[in-house]
Amino acid sequence: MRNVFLIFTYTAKDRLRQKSFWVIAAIAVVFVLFMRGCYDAEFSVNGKELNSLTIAWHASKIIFHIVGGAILLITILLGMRLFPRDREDGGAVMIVGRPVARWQYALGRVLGVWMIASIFMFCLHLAIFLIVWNKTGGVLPGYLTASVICFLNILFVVNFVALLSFSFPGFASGLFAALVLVIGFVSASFFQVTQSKALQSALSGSLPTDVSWWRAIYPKTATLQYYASSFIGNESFTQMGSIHPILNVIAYTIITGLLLFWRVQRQEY
Amino acid sequence: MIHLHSVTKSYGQVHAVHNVSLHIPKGAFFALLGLNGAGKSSIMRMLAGLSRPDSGSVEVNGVSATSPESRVNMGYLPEHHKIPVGLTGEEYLLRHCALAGLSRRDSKKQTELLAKKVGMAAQLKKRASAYSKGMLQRIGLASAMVGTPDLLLLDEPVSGLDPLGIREFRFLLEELRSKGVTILLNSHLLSEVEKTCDTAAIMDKGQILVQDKISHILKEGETLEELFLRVLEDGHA
Repeated sequence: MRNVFLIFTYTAKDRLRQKSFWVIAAIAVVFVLFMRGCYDAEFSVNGKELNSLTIAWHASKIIFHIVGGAILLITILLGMRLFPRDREDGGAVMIVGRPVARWQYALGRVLGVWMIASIFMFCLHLAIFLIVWNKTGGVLPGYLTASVICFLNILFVVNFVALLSFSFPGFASGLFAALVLVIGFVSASFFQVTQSKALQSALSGSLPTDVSWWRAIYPKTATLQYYASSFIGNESFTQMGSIHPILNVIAYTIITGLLLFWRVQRQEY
Repeated sequence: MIHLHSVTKSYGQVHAVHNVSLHIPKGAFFALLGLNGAGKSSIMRMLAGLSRPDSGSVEVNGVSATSPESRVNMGYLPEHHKIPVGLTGEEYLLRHCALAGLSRRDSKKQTELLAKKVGMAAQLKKRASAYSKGMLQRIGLASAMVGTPDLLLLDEPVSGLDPLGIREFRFLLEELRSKGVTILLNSHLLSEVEKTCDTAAIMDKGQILVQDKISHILKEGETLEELFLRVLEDGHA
């Protein structure tokens, strides 16, 4: 495990060295600071002033999804050149030319990007959590648990985009991975909307309530994020379909991970 | 020490190595000679575990070259040596030391020692992007010597080195020879090979044409360069 740990730390250090990472981090910090305004304002509906904690809850949930989605895109950027860059700049030869097994190399690289992206997301969610606490005095139960659940999405995306990068150029693999995520998010969001009680009653229940087969087997990164967000207000989450989103994403993570290890094993340097 | 048995390797339609068998004993200074594309670097890469043969077997110390164990006491300098972007020479060597299994303290010591040996002590803190080709090659040589290896695979080690660097490299090899290190060298600089290596194999189109002690295959008054050209023309010694 020493080799995995070494490669993991090298990967994390090298990502943190990239200027682009710090540019993204700066944008994220500005975004979070900008969001502080949501908790200062007073909102009223039909002349009735809303409870500040209710507003904070709604705003934080929206921000939770924005941060979660944005981190997946950042993960794509970090992961799509992970192995191609190694082949180009001698990083792979440095590691594989030493007594290091290929699986250790792949695992170390994947864990490095996964941890960087996960910690980055957790910090942003933690910032929102603390802002809510500071501004309203209330605590959002399950906000950080929800963030931790989304770590699984990040691991899947790292595996997926890294695997694609062995078959397509970096940009194309990133674009393809992003497309898969976007389709999942649009589909899951649409389904969430159609399942709302208000819309169902307005349309006299004419909207479908069952989950079509393709969405049951499609990578449920978005549904997992919705499931995670249900922890924020301790709500029940019923729109999962026949396969629990956690099981779905775990299955995809394992499949893509095994394929990635197999691909790295076969790679010639 | 090194055993290649009926090794064949192709890249698409190109047969890089064709049915090559080779045995290099411990302590030998062995040169692989040949024109570009003769298959020398492919053999080096297979020995370093970076590439796999299509058929046949490649073994180092009785262990398959695909196994990480075969690289425990091996140093490898690739043909086009590169240092990952953003690293300094010191960081690069420290990483090699750590991956070779050295402790942090030993890594630090050995990095300083090797940097001195290759004449890069003063440049160690500089980023690799600021290095010249010769400097990169010197750091590459130092990285190959990390962990006191008993086998060194050097693919075009003097490429990019100035005459002084080549001379220092020769002294380094002599020092390694006195320590009993086995060296497999791939070089186009035949005069250097003649000075440093005792055994050679001449390759062409993926096949070994001649393989023996250099002193055995050289005719009276013949240089290695002349032998090389003769073998390539005749197809044998």
